[in-house]
Amino acid sequence: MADILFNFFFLSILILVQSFFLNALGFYDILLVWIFYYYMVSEDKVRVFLLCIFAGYLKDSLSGGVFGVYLSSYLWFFLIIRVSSFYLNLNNHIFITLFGIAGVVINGFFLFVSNYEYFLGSVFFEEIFSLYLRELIYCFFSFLILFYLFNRVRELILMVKADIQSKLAKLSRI
Amino acid sequence: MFSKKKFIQLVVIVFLLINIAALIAAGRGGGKIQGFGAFGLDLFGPVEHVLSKITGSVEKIWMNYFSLVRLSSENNELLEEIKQFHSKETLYKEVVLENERLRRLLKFSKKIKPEYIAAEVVGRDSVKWFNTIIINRGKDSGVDLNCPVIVPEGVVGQVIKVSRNYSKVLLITDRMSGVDCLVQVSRGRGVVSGTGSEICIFKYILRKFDIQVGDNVVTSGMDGIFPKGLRVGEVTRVSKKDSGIFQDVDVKPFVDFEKLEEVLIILNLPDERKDG
Repeated sequence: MADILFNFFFLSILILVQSFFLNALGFYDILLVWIFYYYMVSEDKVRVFLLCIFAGYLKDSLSGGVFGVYLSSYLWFFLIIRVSSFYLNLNNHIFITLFGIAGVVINGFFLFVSNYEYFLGSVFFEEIFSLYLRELIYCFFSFLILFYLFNRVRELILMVKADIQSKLAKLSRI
Repeated sequence: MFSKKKFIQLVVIVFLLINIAALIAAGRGGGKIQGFGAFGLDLFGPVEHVLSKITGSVEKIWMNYFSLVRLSSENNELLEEIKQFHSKETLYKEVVLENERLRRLLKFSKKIKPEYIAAEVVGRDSVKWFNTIIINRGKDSGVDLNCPVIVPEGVVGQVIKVSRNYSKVLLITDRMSGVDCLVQVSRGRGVVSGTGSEICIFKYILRKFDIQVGDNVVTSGMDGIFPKGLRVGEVTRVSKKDSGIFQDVDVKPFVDFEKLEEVLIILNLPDERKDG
């Protein structure tokens, strides 16, 4: 239950950070980093699958695009990580970055598919393409950094949690 | 017939194709899946509301500090502006009365007074490809799809998704937005479309119209959504190519979308919209 609540608030905060700060910089979807990170640290992969559904639903509900774009992106991203993990050791700096790029590509693909008529005939096609390229470049340079940043945040939370638990245990002995 | 590996590959391909087809279908329908998406909006709207309030408060404290610095000079400027507005108001009242008299004389139909409802902006689009905002009014307050959303400065956008207590508004700066407009002076008509940035483009405006930088652009009321005469923006660039029947015109909206906090939603249909 604590894990579900944590994910709910953490994802909400990530979406808020993305909406208010990162979108203005043309940043890619940082929820992809969290999904990949959570897959790597979670023992129970079903939880990651559920996280993808939840994150996709949350993102689709709060975005102005076609409903289902993010749900599809995250589920296919999860599927690709899952299948690849049988053949590759994903805990490798190169693979982490490559999977980040794969996530951005999947995201872009579904976004394009849902609005293909609009994008193809758009006068903004070049602009949209350059924005997308910028996302890929950002991803190449920052996916790994964010991955380790999330790791640090999780370690800190676990430390605080252990500290509280030990204090509670001491109190209950008294 | 198939090996297990081949079968799995086939299933994955079929699922991918179904997924793509479903998204294309949803996209063609305008992405307006009301029930499922609307439920999500109701579920996550309050969380977004609380979190954006916290962010907003921090931002306000920061901005208030800076605004204190230039308060005195701004106050003098505003006092000057008020004086000018007083004289303009008298003129405006005269024109309104004259207009009413003339309408009665010509037996024009009575204009429906727009019914407004105020709403608070509780969130922004989580995806940079779209320019939308979330407001804390929904079906329970009488909001419906396509309701125009405005602020005193001008047009904000239109409602594209409604849940019980929240609505999503497509801003006029979004690439998919289009508002039928007029240039106030020359009466040249066209469509103001968003570009994803703070500048909109005025499409399909014939080159025969004399448009100047600084001209005001207002809604024409011909799109069946926005009532006639709402302020949209100001012309910032005009360019006429050697050939072609249209001219290129850029419009800067009067509304500062970054600072939007409260908006007004027009609930009833004025006569122009009904006619449209």
